[in-house]
Amino acid sequence: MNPDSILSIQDVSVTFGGIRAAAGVSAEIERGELFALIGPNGAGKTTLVNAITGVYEPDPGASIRYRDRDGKVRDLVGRKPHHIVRLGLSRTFQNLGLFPQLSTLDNLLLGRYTHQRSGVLSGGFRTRRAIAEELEQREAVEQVIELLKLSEYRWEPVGGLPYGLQKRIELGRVLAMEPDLLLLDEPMAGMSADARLDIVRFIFEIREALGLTILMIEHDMAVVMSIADRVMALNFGQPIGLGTPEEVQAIPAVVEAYLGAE
Amino acid sequence: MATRYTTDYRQDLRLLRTRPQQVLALVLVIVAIAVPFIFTMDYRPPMNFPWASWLTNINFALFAAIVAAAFNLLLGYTHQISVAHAAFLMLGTIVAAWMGVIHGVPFLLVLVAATISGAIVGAIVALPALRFRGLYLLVATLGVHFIFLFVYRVFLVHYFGFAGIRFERPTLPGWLPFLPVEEGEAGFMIAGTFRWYWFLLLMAVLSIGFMSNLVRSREGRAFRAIAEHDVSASLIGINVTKTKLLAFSVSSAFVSLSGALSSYYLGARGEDSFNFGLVLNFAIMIIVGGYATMRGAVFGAFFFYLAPLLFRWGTVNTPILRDIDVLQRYESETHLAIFGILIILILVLRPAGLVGVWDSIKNYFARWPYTT
Ligand SMILES: Nc1ncnc2c1ncn2[C@@H]1O[C@H](COP(=O)(O)OP(=O)(O)O)[C@@H](O)[C@H]1O
Ligand SMILES: [Mg+2]
Repeated sequence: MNPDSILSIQDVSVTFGGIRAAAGVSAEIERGELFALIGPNGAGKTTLVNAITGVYEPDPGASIRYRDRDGKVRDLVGRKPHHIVRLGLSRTFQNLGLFPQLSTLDNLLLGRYTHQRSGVLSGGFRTRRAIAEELEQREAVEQVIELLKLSEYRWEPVGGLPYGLQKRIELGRVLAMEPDLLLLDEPMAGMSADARLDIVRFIFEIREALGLTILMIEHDMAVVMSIADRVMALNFGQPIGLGTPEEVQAIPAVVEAYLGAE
Repeated sequence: MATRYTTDYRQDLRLLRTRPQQVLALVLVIVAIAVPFIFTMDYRPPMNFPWASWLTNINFALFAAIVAAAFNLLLGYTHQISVAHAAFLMLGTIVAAWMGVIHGVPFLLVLVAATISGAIVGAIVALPALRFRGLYLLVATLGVHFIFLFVYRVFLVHYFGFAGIRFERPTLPGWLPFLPVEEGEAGFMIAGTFRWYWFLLLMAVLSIGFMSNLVRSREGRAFRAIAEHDVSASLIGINVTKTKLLAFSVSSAFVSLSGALSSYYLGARGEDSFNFGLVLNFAIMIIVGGYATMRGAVFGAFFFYLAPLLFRWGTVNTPILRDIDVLQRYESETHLAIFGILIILILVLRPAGLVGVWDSIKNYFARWPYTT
C-alpha cells in the first residue's frame, strides 16, 4: 500500500449469482483527495462502495486496506460494517439511509453514536456523565445544523421532508460522524439545479475546512470536472479509465460508455 | 407544527419541557396521590357504581403498565416481535418462589434478583432467536414460551406439588426512610390494596422512568435506528446484533420484575397462571394505548383494566340494557364484545391510539385561547 494512500483496493470483484457487478477493480485513494467514481447505471459503483464498507463481501482474492489516522493499516475484507465505520469511514446511500420516523435532530445525533460511551444503565438512570455527554453531542450536531441550514427542521420526522432536504440531512449525519474518509453515493441525485450547486459548494467547503478525503459517486460530468482531483470510470463492473478528469474524459471507452448509456 | 426555538439544550433533555406538560404532570401527581384515599373511602355511590374494585384494578394496571412498557420497548421501539413475555413473567415467579418462598430471601433482594435474572436470561434467549426476523422471530419466541412453560410446571410440581405456590405478604425493612413502621414491628408489611398501591406506583414510576430515559439516550436511539433501517444503522457504527440483544435483555428484565411483583401481589400462582393469552393482552394495551410511546403503554394498561369495570356497571344498571336478556346471560362475552368494539373504534378514529387522543387534548389546551 502506497504510503500516501488512505484506501487501497486490489482486485475487488463482487458476484451476484451469475452477474459480476464488480470485476477486478483496483485503485489507490490518496489522503486528502476528492476521488470521483463515474459510470453508467448498473456499472457497479454502489456495489464497490458496499464492498468497501462491509455490506457485501468481495470474492476471494480481493484486498481492501485502509490506513487509519494513526497510520495503522487495516484490512477491511471480512469485517462487519460497524467495525469498519469505527475506523473512520462513513458513507451516504444512493437511496437515503435515514431513519424516516426519527427527527432531524435524532438522525444527526445518531451520527455521534460512535463518539459516545454511555450504555443502557447510564442512559436509563440519566447519570451526570450521560447527560454531559448528550449535551456535548448536541453542540456538535448544532454546528452541523447551522452549516447545512437545517434549523427549521430540527424536530420534524425526516420521512416527511422533501427528498433533496433528506439528502442534505444525510450528508449532515456523515459529517457529524467526523470521518477521515467520506464515501458519497450520488449525493445530488434527484435535486434541482440550485440545490445541486449548494451541495457542490458544500462538499468543496467541508473538504477545505476539514481536510477530508472524499470518494464520490457522481453522474454529472460537469460536476465531476469541476471538483474531482481524480476519476475512475467503471462499465459493466470493469474499470475503463483512471486519471485526472481531463484524461479520463478523453478515453474513447469512457466516451462510448456514456454515449451508449444516454 | 410551529418551530420550537431553544437556547438551552439541557432543557430539551428534560422529560417535561413545556409549561402545559409540567401542569399536566402536576395534575397527574395530585390524582395519583388522591386515588388510593378516594377509593378506600367507605362510600356507596348511587346506581351501584362500583367503588371498592377500582383500586384493585388500578393495581393490576400498574404492573401491567410495566410489562406493556417493556413490551413496547421491544416491539414498538426496536420492531422485534416477541411473544416470550409470558415466559419472563414465569421466570420472575420462579425466582420469587425459589428465593423468596423456599429460601426466605428478603423481598427487595428478590425483586433485584428477578430483574437481573430477566436481563441475563433475556440475553441468552435472544442469542439464538435474533437470527430470525419478523414472523420467524415470532415463532422462535413462541418456542421460548413453551420451553418456559415446561420448566415452570416441572419447578412447580417438584417444589410445591399441584397445590401451587403460596407467597407470604412481603415486608419492607424498617430502616428504609419514610416508612410508617408501627411500634414493635421489624418492618413494614405490604398488605391490602392501599399499601400495595403505593409500592406498585413506585415500582412503575421507576421502571417506566428508566425506560423513558433509555429511549431518549444513546442506546435508545440505536433501538429506534435498527427498527427502521438496520443496514444504515450498522453503517453509523451500531452493532445491530448486540443492540437487539440489549433491547431484549432490558425488556425481559422488567417483565421478570413484574412477574415477581405480581406473584407477591396475587399471593398464589398455580399451574395455569400463565396462559398464552396474556401476551395478547399486552399487545392490545400497546396498540390501543399508542405504539412506540411510553405513555401509550400506561394508557393502554389502564384502559385495559378500568374499562371493563364500566362495562359491567353499564350493562347491569342501565335501564334498557339491563332488560336485554342476552346481554345478561352472556355477561363476559358481552364485555369482551364491547371491548372489541372500543378497540376498533379507537384504532379507526385515532390510529395513534389513546396517546393520539391525549395529544389532541393537550394541544388544544396548549394553544388555548387561540383554539383553531
Ligand atoms: N444485492 C444485489 N443482488 C443482486 N444484484 C445486484 C445487487 N446489487 C447490485 N446488483 C447488480 O449489480 C450491478 C451493479 O449495480 P450497482 O452497483 O448498483 O450499479 P451502479 O451503482 O453503478 O448504478 C447491477 O446489474 C445490479 O443489478
Ligand atoms: Mg448506484
